[in-house]
Amino acid sequence: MVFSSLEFLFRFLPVFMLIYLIVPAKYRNIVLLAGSLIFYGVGEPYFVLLLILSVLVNYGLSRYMFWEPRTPQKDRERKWARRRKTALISALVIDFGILFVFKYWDFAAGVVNGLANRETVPLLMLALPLGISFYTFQMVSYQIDCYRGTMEAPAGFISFAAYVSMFPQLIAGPIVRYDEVSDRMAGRKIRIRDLENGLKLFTVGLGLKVLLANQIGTLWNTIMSAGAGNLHITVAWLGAIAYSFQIYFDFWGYSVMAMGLGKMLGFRIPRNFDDPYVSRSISEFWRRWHITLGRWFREYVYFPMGGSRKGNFRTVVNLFVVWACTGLWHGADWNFLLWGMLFFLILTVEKNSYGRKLEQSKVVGHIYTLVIIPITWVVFAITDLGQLVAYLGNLFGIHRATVMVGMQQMERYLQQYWGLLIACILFATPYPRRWYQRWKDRWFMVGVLLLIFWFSVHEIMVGSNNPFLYFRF
Amino acid sequence: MKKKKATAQKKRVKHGQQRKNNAKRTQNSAKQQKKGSAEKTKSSSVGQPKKNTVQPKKSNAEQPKKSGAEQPKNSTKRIKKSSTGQPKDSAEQLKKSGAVQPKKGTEQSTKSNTSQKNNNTNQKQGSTEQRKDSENRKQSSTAQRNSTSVQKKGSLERRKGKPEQKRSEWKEILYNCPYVLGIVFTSLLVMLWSDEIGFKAIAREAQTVMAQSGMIGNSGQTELEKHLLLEADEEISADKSVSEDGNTDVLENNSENDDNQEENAGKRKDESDDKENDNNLENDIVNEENIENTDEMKGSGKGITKFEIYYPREIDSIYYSDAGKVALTTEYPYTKENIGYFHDAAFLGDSRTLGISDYAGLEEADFYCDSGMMIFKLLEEKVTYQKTGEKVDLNQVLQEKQYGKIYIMLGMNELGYGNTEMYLEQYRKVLNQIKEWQPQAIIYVMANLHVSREKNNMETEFNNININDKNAASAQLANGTDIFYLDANPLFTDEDGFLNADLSFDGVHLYAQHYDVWREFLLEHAVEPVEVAEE
Repeated sequence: MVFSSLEFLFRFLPVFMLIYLIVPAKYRNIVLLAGSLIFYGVGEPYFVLLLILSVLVNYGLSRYMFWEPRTPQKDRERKWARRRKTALISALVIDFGILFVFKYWDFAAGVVNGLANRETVPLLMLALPLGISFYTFQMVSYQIDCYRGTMEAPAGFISFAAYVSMFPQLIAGPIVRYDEVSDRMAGRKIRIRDLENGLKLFTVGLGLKVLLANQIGTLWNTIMSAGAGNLHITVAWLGAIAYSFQIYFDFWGYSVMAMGLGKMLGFRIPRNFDDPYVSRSISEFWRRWHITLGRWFREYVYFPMGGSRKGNFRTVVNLFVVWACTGLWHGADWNFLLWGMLFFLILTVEKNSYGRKLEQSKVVGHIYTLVIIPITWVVFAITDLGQLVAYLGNLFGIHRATVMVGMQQMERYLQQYWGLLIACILFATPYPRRWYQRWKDRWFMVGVLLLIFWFSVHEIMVGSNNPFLYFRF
Repeated sequence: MKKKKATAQKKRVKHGQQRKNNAKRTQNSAKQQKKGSAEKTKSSSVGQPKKNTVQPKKSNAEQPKKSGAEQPKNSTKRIKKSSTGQPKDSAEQLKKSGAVQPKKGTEQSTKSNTSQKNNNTNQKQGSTEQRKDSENRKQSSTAQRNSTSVQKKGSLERRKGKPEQKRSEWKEILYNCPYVLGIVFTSLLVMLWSDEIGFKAIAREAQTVMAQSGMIGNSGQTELEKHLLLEADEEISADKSVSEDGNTDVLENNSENDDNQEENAGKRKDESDDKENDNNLENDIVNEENIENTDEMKGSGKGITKFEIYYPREIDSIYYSDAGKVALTTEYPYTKENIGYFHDAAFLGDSRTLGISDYAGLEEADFYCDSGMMIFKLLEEKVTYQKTGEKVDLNQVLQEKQYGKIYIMLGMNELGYGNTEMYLEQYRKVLNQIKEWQPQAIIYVMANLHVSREKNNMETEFNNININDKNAASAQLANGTDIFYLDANPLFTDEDGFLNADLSFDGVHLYAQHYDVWREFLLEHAVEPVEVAEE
């Protein structure tokens, strides 16, 4: 089930909220857990079992970490440390093992078979369980926090299960750390203001997703339908820009919806985006884009490996590992690896040379970012390497075939999409959010948001074509 | 108007204050509550850090000017609550610290996570008060563990004004969530009215669920029948009637079970079922006719549209059914023409026709198409004339300009609109209209291209069975004299009828470079208009 579906908006959400609000506070975690499993199970009737299984195993292992060994005092600490290590390692192996089998097996098998030049490893052709990358990362973060002792006490089972499966962030993030929700898990009061503001926020996210991302997505789709390689340079850039907007509003909209739902349920889900497209450098972009993922890699991969403290060479190696992982996390294919490597290159160069200057500049930095980002998104978007090369060529005016989509089509696209493009540009700046903050309690906002909501619903009804970009990750 | 503004402003000020002072205030709430509620004003300005004292002053200084009309109303509310006739200021204070603070206090208490267990004594008190309030109080009182005596005082006062307070609290709630209420209210309205998401749809869904669970007993049988039927190639028609009888039985049973929904959903289903029957009957008849036609018309040079019959699947959809037949390109001794053939051609269609316009290199033809165009909209709404980019009215254009050939391809956007019967009716209407305006023109009804395997979704109406249903319907209109049915699908689909994945990015539209093939297909299937005129 996705948030921007009639099924969710008019079936699941009202029924769930009603039950959630009616039951006494102490049963809310159970209701949340049950609701989340239903939410997940409707879309993935079999993989919900996998989710439950991983939650059980992870919870068992985390409890094992906290279980003090019954040995004489002097041995205890040592034994306990060993126990915690065992538990952590087995948790990591299990979690990443499941993720690997479902997400990366076929890719890896393809690589191995390619190298061996015959079929040594069979392909599994498994479907990817929804949101597995997100919930795996959340469980791993919990395990590592337990291991490090950041967690003072183990979570209750229901709390832990509800934390992992909480439907607002289950399938497309943000990646929440347990300590961000632990106090609310222990007990929360749903205030009427939170309900109100949460629903408002949800509507804003729905609008971003349905009215901006989906609409501009059709432009990208139209251009790609003509085929990469046939595009005039202007059309190629228009397509890249359209996709950049699509993926941003799609994912941002989803995150805002998650935040809104979280608020309605009495949680505080962290922000995932902070106006990434107004960054002045790519490093800054990644501090503002998918913040919770960046944080995860920083806290659980980059810092443990030494971060930037172990000399230049180690820093570069660490960055390489982090960005290879980030790339592959987004998808198991060469283009995602390439995409990660692209960022690794750019960030390394920025870090060692002009990064500072760019971030201090007023105009150059923005232009620099706005040119580079669409190119990286093209690498992200096109999985077929042949097509990718063709499209990248088009971006720089290199054509192998005759140009079939030229100025005539460009004119039509602009005629058709100019309003939407302006809206997208506007919403990529920080202003709309500031306006929202300032006016959200005014009465007229109720009307505006109602309009947005029903217009979105109308669009959902009309367009059956509503795929989530960040869905199969 | 003024009043409203004032209210809103006041509201804002209040929320702002609440938020700002909230944290500090709740920290100090224990101290605050120790004093009697009547003394609150003083105590808050004396006993607390200076930052907090700013707040009540500010509110008192600002409010009277701006909301002169408003304040009496509010204060009466508050006075009623306290019911002791206190002065306004203290009443307001009471309200803030009494009614609002507990709410905030909750947050505080849950945050600090410490005092959950210590509320036994306080809870007893709480039970004597209203339910709603008690929840707040329970937790607020946990924040102030040693304030039992004060609590008693406060609760005494509250108990006196119980009903009024309840009402005002409700008002408070309503006032705090206009948007939630707006959504709930409009949703209820829409759900009453809408067929797609409303209660009707729920009833329908419920019924299908019931039907599915009810069918368990019978399903084995029908499955078996199906297999038998599939095996028996020869006796298709005889067996078909058997299986359909079985189906209707099941459906009837279900609609009997569900008395309430009989009118809505049951009817729908029966209709669709009837339609299916009709279609099949029609299908048979058409086929027979065709066979007759072949015999009769072979000599006369009239085109024949043949159908390939297969055993249809059961489809549970209001939009379509399985046609059970695939229409083939009208058989006719076509001639092969060159590109000049299109100099007097018009193309009417949706986004795929737009693709032909853009990439097939038919410079001379006139294209009237838009993404999302439907047969239902073709003559009702304006269409973009691709040569100029202007929106034109086809009613006008087709009456003014005479075309030799008119190509139509519509149906994709109708997959989830109305049903196939309506589609056919509208198609017929449109063709009749066009023929009236363009008596000389040859009309080519082009089959909608199938979608790719990836895009084919049996759970929605977006699938090739539906597309084929539409195609088969429109093919019935081909008469072989001036209306011809052209199916380009075999050029682009695999053996299972799915659009080749290599030919398309989205599984719906061909890549630009593949429209050449389509153009050649059209050129190879050209009808000489003269011949028809002689007919």
